[in-house]
Amino acid sequence: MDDPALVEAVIAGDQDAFGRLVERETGSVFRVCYRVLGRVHDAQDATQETFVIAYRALPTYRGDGSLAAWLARIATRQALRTASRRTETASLDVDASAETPGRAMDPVSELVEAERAGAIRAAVAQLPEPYREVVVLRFFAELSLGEISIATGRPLGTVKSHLHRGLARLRDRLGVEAAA
Amino acid sequence: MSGTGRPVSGRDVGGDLDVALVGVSAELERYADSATPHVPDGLVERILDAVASEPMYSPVGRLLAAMAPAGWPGLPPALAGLFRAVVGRPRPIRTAMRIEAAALLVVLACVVTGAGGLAVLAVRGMAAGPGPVTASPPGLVQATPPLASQPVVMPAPTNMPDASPMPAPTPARPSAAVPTVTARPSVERNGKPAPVQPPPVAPSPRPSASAPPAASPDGSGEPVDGGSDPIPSAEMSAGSSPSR
Repeated sequence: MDDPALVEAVIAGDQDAFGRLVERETGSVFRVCYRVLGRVHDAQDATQETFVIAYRALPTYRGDGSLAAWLARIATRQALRTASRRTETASLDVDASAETPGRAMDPVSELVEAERAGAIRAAVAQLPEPYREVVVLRFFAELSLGEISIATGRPLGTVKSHLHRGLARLRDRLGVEAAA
Repeated sequence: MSGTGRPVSGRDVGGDLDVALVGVSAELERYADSATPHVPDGLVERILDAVASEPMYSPVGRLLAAMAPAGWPGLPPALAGLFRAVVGRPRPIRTAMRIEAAALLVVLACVVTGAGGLAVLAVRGMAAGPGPVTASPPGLVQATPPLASQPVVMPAPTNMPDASPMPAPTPARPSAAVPTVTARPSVERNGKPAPVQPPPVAPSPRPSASAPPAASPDGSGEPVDGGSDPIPSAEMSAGSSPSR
């Protein structure tokens, strides 16, 4: 079933259709939320809220872009909102890296990696809009530039420009050097 | 998707990426590839439950949430704003209990404190439906008629016995329905020879005195909002006032 048909079925009250939509998209939505937030529990909450918001807003889905991209934008906003709310609290969670597969590093490397990941998340979260949204959609939600353009309603050239400036700001914040 | 540690990939700016930014792009990709956990078990079911049981609140939360569109009529604006902030939109299940506990505490605090009466009346009014909300103020409105009616009758006759040349004025005035005339005459006439003149002058200082019986919901004689709308309760039930 393609996206418009799926959405129409959900709007018509087909709960199974919504279940299929959730099953299909939960992975990508959760991934975006986790990459922004860095904590499994927070990402779970943000994912849940993303789908609640999407459920309410489905009638506004125009069908000109993919449903995944539409959801990714909602998830991005929701995750960033959650991230901005919790900045004052420090977490004692140690589960952030526990559920990432394929990791067999020594503790020191793992700590360094975790610190670096935290620095990247913080730097992205502190970017001003509209750069932040474009960077997250591009690298965390893994959308193409065309998909970002449709999802945000901005011209492709504008999206490129925003991404370029966002990366330039990130370079300053992260101290990343040009690729050798 | 990627994850091979390559310096540049399809996720960069379509080939237009400034060389100086390639490092940042690669760094972000590395991070994204490493931060790719499995979807936790039960998450899909939890999402479906959350959507199905929207608005995800207990009876207390549902009642407060149901009142949200009406702006919690009868509640002081600040309190209504607090309620809206607490239950105005769905929350993750994990934090719902905390939020509801907070909402319940607010309700209890509201009931215990002096302003609690209005909150209770508003809750009752909402539970009964949108119409009866106007029933909450009546207890207060009842106090207004006696207060408003008193000045109309009295002082004028008592202070006027000396004005014998004019026996008719008193019966003639009631039609003007100017209660406040009575307060000033005693002061002004002491030095004035012409007792008949004051009446037309006096009404202006307190023109509002004729309106209060219907307009003042709190019995003070002054409209609460400072406006002249005689139907405050109707506005409150519409929920437009707590817009701030």
